Amino acid sequence: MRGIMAVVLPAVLVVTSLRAVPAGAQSPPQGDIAKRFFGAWRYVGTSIDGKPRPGRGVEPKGIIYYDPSGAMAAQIAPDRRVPMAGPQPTAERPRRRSPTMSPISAPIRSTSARAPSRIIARRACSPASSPIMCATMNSRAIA
Amino acid sequence: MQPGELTDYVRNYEFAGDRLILRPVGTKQEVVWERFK
Repeated sequence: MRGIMAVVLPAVLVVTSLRAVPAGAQSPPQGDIAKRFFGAWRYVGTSIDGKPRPGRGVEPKGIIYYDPSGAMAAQIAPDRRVPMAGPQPTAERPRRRSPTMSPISAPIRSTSARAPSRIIARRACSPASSPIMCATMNSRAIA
Repeated sequence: MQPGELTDYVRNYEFAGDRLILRPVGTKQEVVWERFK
C-alpha cells in the first residue's frame, strides 16, 4: 500500500499543479512545472534505445527555448560539412536552401491530465520545410 | 517556416539536474537538453 501511495500521490500533486487549459486559450503558463521549462536549453544529443541517433554528425548543435508567455522555439543543426561550391551557384552545385537547419517555434498547448509528465505541442509547418523538426507549437502544456 | 497541417507532438519529459529529457511517446528515442548557464 505504501508503495502504491508513493507512486500515486506525487502523480496527483503534479496533476493538480498543471491546471491544463483548453487548446484555444491563450493565458500564459504559470504552474511550477511550467516555470521549470522557462529559459534556453542547449542540445546535448539524441539517443534511440540507448544508442546515439545516427545522421546528425559528431557534434550537432541545437537550442530549445521556452518563454513565460507560453511560446517556444527550437532548432537543431546536424554537424555536416558541406563544401563550398564557389561564389556562384552552378547547375551541378545549385545554391542549397539552408539544408542543415531545422527550426521550430510555437506555443506549448497542454499537458495530458492522464499522463502529467507529457508536454503536447502543435506542429504547424510544412513537412517540406524541415527535415528534422519543424513546428509551431502552442506552449500551454504546462499551464 | 510555412503554415501547414496541425499535428500534435507529444513528449514525455523528465528533469534531471540541469538537463531536460524529452521522449517522443511510443518510441525509444530520447532527446537531451542542458540548461544554458
